[in-house]
Amino acid sequence: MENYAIEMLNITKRFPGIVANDDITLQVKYGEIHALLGENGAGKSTLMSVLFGLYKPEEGRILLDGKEVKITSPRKANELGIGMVHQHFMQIKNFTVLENIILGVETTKNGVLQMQEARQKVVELSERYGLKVDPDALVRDITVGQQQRVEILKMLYRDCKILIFDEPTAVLTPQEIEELMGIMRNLKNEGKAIIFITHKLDEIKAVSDKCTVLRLGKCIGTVNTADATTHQMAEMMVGREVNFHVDKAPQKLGEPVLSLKNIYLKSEVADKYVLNNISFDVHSGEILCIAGVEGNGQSEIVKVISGLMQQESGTIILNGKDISNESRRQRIIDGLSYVPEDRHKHGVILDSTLEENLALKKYFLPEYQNKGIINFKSRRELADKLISEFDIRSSEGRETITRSMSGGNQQKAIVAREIDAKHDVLVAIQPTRGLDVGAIEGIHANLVAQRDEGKAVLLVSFDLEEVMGVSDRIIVFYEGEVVANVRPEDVTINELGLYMSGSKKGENLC
Amino acid sequence: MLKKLLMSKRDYSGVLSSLIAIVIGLLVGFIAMIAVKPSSALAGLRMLVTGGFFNGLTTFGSVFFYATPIILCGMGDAFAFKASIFNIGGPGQMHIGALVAVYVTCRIGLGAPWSTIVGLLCGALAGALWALIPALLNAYKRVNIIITTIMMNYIGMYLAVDLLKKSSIFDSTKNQSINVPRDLRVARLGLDKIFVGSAIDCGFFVALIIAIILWFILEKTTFGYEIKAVGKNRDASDYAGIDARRTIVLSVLISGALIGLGGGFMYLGWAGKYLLGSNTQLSEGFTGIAVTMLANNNPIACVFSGFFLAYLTQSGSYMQAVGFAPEIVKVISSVVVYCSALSRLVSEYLRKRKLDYIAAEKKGDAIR
Repeated sequence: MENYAIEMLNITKRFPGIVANDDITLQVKYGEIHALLGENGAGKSTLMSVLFGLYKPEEGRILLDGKEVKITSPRKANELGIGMVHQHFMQIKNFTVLENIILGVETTKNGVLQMQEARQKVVELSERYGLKVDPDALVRDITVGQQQRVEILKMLYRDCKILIFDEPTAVLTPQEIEELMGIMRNLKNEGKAIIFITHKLDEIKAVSDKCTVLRLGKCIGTVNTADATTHQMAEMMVGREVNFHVDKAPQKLGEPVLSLKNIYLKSEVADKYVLNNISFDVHSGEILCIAGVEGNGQSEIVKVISGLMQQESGTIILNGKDISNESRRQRIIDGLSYVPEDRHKHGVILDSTLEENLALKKYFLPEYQNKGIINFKSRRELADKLISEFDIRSSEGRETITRSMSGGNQQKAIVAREIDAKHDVLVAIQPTRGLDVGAIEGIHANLVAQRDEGKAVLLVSFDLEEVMGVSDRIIVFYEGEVVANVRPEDVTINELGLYMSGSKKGENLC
Repeated sequence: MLKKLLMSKRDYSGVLSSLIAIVIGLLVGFIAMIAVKPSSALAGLRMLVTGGFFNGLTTFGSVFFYATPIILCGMGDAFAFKASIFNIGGPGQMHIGALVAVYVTCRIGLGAPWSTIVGLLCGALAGALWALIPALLNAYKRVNIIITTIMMNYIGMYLAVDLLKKSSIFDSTKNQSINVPRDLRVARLGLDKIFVGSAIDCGFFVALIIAIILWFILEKTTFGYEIKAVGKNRDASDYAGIDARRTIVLSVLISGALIGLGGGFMYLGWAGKYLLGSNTQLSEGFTGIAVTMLANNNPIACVFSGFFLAYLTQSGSYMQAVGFAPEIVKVISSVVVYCSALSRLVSEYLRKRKLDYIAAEKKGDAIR
């Protein structure tokens, strides 16, 4: 008889039109890091929401230390010692780290806060687990990695024994990921039970002891991580063999389609340029990647190209036409498609239907309206066509409210809409962020197909594997400047790292 | 029964939630009456339900008149709300609209019916212009429109009263606007033959037609699609090339126009309402918010909810006949209005129930 910290036995949770969790069993011991692996929409989040008291399962039992418990709310989960580090941090930006940690469980004496005690406990915890963070810094001043440590400290401060990490590495730099792994090992050695949700296989391999794989709401199996290869786990996850390589035909390079000349943009907060004399061309039949550490001007350059931000000076030429001062709508008509960075903010209207979202770039064309009156028939046909062509999965087809779809399928819908719009240039910023292997594969194939059709593709990515795998040419951004212009076959990842950190500067910068 | 309604193909949850809110409102009103005067409570409740027919069709006809401005106002608020703009500048826009409508109608001298038609259109235009200032501030500078519209209510009221006093349509002995000549009032199209002695005119039917037009704009046109897109996600609309600023300004302009038009109908009617020389806000401008809340922001439903609230007010004026002080009327109507704000909670609950039913059905399928 083994002693499990937490057992979720035969959990079944249904939503209208979909069985999100179908008879899933997950057992985790103290001192164990248990990875939960699955594609987007496989049911990982639902299962964790059940454990965290956000959803009530139709069937199944939850045992804590061998005793059955009913978890009815996140508060109850906390009381039972279950804590969750969310993907999006729940923090008050204008409070200090310490204030954030104690929020909700303040120690008081006659109504007066006892900060000294709390501070001591926080300092002790952060030393014990190697969670370096200044308790008096304001949360808005610290890095994302440090904010994540604050979340972890919050859980520890509340004496949680079971910690859930929901895709914790999605927001971190490679260096911070290393540190997080170390922290997780410390927690494990101190006897905590850890559930680690991810779809990055190398992380699972690096840190976890066991791995449970979900696919389409079903439990595929639990393996000892040491005994399984990443390929085997990937296969379990997607149900077929996975192609880690991006297949590309030889390049047929054409004329420049999008040209940027001497773009300058001033920072909104500081007295410096976030884009400092940027010039480059994107040719037809080419995938040009902008590599670099996040925050070196990549989002700004894409916003300038799409017209969401207005450059201070410089020209943008699309198909020989100067679009520097055109409206966003005109740029779209002139042939610019754009997969935005923030899916939920810019990419989709979450509370509209899938059909309405798929029409967002086309509804004003004569085919879809007549004197301002919507042609619903052709709009429906468009939606159905894109849904089947791009395999966008949802519970109610084109009528589905987009909010209820999985992140991967929302992204597929955006990519479908942008590729379907008449265009010569496709700009995509972080199109695979937070997606699983299967969806990433699909999106990479889409990008390559675009290039083979003779479109110009501009891809911004912070993922070096992706940069190396997909691109025909790479430019590196550092502090708002282009510091390298290279071909992937002429450069190593290490060299790229040097460019990205500003310690090396290339030649022939466009 | 509930299940059947919820599971039918058309979505009734909005209508149901409003009805439930009304029933709760009436119940609370009934309890209040029991608390005040148990012996008359039943008679009070009866009066609340039947008071709209107190003098037969005469009373009922006037309900149409009182409903018109609050329906127009409610539809105006609903339209702005679709673009996620909370226009609570109803009283100000209505006051300015009413003043312009009455002035133009009485002084333009085109004769019936053109003076009245032009007057009403000018009233709508004035309401729209009064809404334009907060709309521009919100669209271009992201200034909180709740605050600006509230301030514009006061500015509008003082301005309208001041202009009225300086104008040729002011009767200084009565401290109110002059009588609108009978032939320049809103046409009655023979309705006064059916509803003898009531204040009914064709305004209600104009509002009904406008409701259908608004529904058409919102559901069937690209402009409506843009408004809803901007309302649900301004950033994504901007990114997709929709001019969010223009869309917001237009939706608020239409909102203000409808409210201004409501003001015109209220003071060009047959109920003997006059623009006053004292500083009073037009409360109908706020009632519009209750109308649209009870209607879940649906312009067609605004016609029904506006009519309901007008009916209640009309019934209320006869409550004294069964021994309740006039104040109890205000208690009851405000409780109903208050409850209408709850209808959103109720509709959320009904939506959940519907999902449960669907889930249960799916489960049944799986077992079979």
